[in-house]
Amino acid sequence: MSDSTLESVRGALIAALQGIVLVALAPLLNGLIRKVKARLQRRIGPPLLQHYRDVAKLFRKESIRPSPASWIFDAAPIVSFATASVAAALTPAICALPATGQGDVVTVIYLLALGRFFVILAGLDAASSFGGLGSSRDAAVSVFAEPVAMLSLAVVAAALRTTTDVSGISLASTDAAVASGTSLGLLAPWRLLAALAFFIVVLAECARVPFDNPATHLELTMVHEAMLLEYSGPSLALVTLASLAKQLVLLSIVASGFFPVGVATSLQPAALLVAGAVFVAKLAGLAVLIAIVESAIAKVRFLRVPDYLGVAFGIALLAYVAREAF
Amino acid sequence: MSPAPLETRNAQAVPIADVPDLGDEEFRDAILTAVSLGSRVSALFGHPAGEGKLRLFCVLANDELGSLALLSRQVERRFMSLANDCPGVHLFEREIFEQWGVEPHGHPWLKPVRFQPPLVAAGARASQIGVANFFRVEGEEVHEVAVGPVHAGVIEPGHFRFQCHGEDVFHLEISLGYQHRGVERALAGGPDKRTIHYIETLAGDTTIGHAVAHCETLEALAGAEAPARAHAIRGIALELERLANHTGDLGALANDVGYLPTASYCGRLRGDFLNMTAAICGSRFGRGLVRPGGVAFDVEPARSAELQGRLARAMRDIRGATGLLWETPSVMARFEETGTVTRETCEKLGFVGVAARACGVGRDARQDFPLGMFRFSQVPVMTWHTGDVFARAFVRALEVESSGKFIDGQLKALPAGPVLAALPERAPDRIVATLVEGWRGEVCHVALTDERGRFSRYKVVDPSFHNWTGLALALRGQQISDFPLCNKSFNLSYCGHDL
Repeated sequence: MSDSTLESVRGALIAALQGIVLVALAPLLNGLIRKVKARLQRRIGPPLLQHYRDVAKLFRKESIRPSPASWIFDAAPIVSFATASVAAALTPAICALPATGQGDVVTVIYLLALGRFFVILAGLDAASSFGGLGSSRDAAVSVFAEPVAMLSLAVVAAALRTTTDVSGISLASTDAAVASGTSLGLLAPWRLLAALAFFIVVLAECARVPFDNPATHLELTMVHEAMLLEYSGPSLALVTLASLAKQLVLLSIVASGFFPVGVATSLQPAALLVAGAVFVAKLAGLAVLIAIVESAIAKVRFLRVPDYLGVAFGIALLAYVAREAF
Repeated sequence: MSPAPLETRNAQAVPIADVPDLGDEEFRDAILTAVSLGSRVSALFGHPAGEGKLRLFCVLANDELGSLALLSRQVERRFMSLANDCPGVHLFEREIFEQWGVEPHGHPWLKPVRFQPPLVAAGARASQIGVANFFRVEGEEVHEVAVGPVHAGVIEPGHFRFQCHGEDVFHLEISLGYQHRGVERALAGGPDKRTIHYIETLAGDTTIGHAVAHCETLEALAGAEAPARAHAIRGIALELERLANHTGDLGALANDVGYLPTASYCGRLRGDFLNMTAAICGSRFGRGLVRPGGVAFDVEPARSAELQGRLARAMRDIRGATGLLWETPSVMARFEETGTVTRETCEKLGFVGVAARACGVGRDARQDFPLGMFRFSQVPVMTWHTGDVFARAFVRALEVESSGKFIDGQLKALPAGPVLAALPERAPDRIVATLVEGWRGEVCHVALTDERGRFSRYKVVDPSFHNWTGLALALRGQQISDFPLCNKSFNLSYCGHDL
């Protein structure tokens, strides 16, 4: 076996391992957000590990299938979980290595979009009026969110002179560029603006305040949850895990893509350990940030969602201009 | 000249024989004239008059004059509906149709109200609940969303049907009756040991409101008055109930828009107010406090001092919690111009309570028809003119402030004396209508006594009965995702409506 083959096999193993670790950590991240939110209201809040218990409970229950549903309803939890897991494996989180296929954000974003597509279809497939409402709303949100995500990532890629072709953005290169040149400051205006635009997209994509209220039980206001109303048992566990994993993946892009400090560029155990610790700290910081945002502002009226995402698009544009200027 | 309606005052017993018995046209004209002169229909109900006839009683309330007017007419199988000319009676007429099988001819939308069995014959079968004609909008892009009666939250059951075009709501129809317990039927023949408990649970969150209305009714029938100290304690309890519920509603409104600080503050403060009621009588909802002839628990000086301290702390916190709402732009963006009801609609349909005052209508039974302590110590009427969710929230916050002041004033100057007086026998063949401003709005109790002074009919009109239509109209042209917010801003009672 040649060295390059060995390298890519090792890279694939690392990616798979990272995917498993990230998916396993995803419920903990959301548990942390809920905990901080509760503490901000002076409540005790659910235990950090509650999501794991819920998922374990759901796996022991039976799945009930609405009679009008087709194969899409059964496939959607599997597809969304699979795409989120693969996205977790490919996200440059702890280590960014060239030549493994790992680190391509465009792949990651569109893997998540594929999962979302199936969940939207499943919401329609179950033929309940709430599912239909949720699907149409989720589709509307994604129409406005996706361009912002791509634009803000493109700003980073262009800034690092990696490539002008959006599909070629590799965060490994991002990291390499950062490692090579200290002139690309972490607190440069363009970077902060692009990160802010992407963060707003994360809130929209993860069905968080101000776009959706993850804590509501009111069917008529739900966006994401409304599509999942008909799911139960193991299939509900899978879609729940998928959305938690998606949240972690997107936050990883914020943590390691926009601020690639501390990302390991080799497979040295020591470097990986440090990178892991930095990554966890950054995610915890983001979780606290989300909790604060959710505690400080109200959910927006649904038809004003495009306005908010329009602002995010403006911020991303501004980031592009700021990069040209500075 | 046709006989005029019998003018009377709030909680004043008059002989049933004095209530004028009008003809079809006279009855109709009398009501329409009174309504055009500023009265509204507080209650309209049937009572069997023998020989297969039904006597319809109407209670007209004039807020400006503070006077009530009673009138009646006898009908057999049908009568001319008033609903087209006076939309405020549409639900009363549907109720009469359902209870007695007497048809309001020409009613625009005649269908069951509660799906209850007719009161005419014992053992009659009710129609199947929820099975009725629903208004439908036809068209390719129109879709129907049905919610309930089983909801995702721990709330009462009700069925809602939306005719939607995307996110926009064309029409909402509300179908209730799932909480019907037959309270009015059970109250006939009373009062007995059970009566006060039925009254206290007519609408659990309006325990004091209904109990005060009931006790004032009984006292009017007995020609007696509760001691002054009892009136003061009833006033305190009524306002504590308002404080607790308004606070809870403000918190729930904040929660519905996902604004957590106010939601969690108000959740705690509601508990504080409920506990103050519990400190008086041992029940957070005031069960067992208000009794015919007075109240069952005194507020001793030590307890009064303790309550004053607790009230001052709670009032300080509630100011902070509600102030956050008006200062947060994202909250105001949700509240303003959501679920608007115009003043014209409000006046036409006769909404009551917070819903009416939020449309700029200064309608408050504490001011217009004062009873008990409110004859001596007035509470200002709080209104706001925009008619939207913000108005309903803001009026609540204003009322919280004035209720706090009222309670504090009463606690500081409780009249001396006993708190409970024995009631003499009730007068026979009387009718009495009592209006009390519960926290949700006007609570109306109408009692008719037989020749032994027992209830031959006890009619209860909860404020929710007037206001449910308001919620349906508030949703027109709104986004369906704003329904929970609009619903919460009215926060109507299902069991108070269903009885």
